Amino acid sequence: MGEDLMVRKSKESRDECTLKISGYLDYSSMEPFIQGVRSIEEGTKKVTINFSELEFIDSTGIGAIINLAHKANDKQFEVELVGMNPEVREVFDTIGVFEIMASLQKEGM
Amino acid sequence: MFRREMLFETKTDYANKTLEREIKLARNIQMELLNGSQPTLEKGQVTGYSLPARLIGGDYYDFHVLPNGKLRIIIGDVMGKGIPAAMLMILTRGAFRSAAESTQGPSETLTAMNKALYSDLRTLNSFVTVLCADWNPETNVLSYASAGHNLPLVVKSNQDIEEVPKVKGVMLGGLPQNTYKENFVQLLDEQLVFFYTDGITEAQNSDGDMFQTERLRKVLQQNYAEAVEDIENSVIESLDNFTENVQQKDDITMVLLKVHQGQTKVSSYNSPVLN
Repeated sequence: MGEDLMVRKSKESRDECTLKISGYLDYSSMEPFIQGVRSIEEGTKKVTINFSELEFIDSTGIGAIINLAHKANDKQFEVELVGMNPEVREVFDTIGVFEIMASLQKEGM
Repeated sequence: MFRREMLFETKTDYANKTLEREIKLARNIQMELLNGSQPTLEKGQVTGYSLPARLIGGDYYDFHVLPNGKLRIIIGDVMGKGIPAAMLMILTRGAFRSAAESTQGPSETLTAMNKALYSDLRTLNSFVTVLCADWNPETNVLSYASAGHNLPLVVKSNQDIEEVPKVKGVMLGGLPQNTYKENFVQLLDEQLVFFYTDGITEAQNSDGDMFQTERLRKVLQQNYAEAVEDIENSVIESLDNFTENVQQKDDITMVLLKVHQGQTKVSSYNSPVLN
């Protein structure tokens, strides 16, 4: 069951970037995502996380997304989640990820 | 040089053995706390089961018999795996036991638990999903609130199974001042409530296929008429057959409550029946 994670970073403009996640974002494969988040440059205004090639996410992966949202709140950049399939969207909704992100965004305004 | 290497090896062996022994002791503590005594119900049955994917895990379930005769049930899943998750699971257990004593219902319990745990969970970049439910043996009403946890299934017959009416709430450790909504379901004679963590539906076989909710629903329906311990064993057996004993990534936890109509009372763990 050696599922891998690949995180590709692309830069749309000077202050916007995308992290595209492919494969399993879980306990055993977090390092590429952590590296991807670390590579977000100072002064970035918007980070898009593209889940269109995500195959599986567990609680550790969800925790990493929430931590990114907290980081965004501290560093004053926006996080947008795109390309989620209905199952992943439902899991995020059940756990309360969208509510936390909305609350942090409101707090940061 | 040889002597130094020998000495180093001996020290490493000693450290490894000590670590191994301590993890085993930690596992024993966790298994004792988790799979300890379960309340006896008059004209009703409840059971719980938790199997960590590693030596120790982050899943949790517990029961608390309230002075008014209701049975409070909690099931939860700590973010992460292994020892770090197990440490937070113990913290969660303490928060539940303390909150259960002083709160009126599931939503109040979750609000109190979140208040108690938020700061620590945020500091540790972690969270816990839990579902808390109160079963009233007099009315057979199950009220419940969720902090990011999946909803239980109600098995009404061997043909009819559904999730309880929807309610949602943010996981513990998500928002500091969060409050939780409550919903309820009226249970009827012989209906079964199945609480679980996602380690069951996400159990994988060697091809990487997941057990999924559909297989779970099927095994619950097929064994609906059995006693809760037998239904629990059927779920475990079905999981074993599906996974063919492939090492699982996630802990597996379930709580089963089967109710009977009539004058049902909750017995405390060791004390006489409460009136």
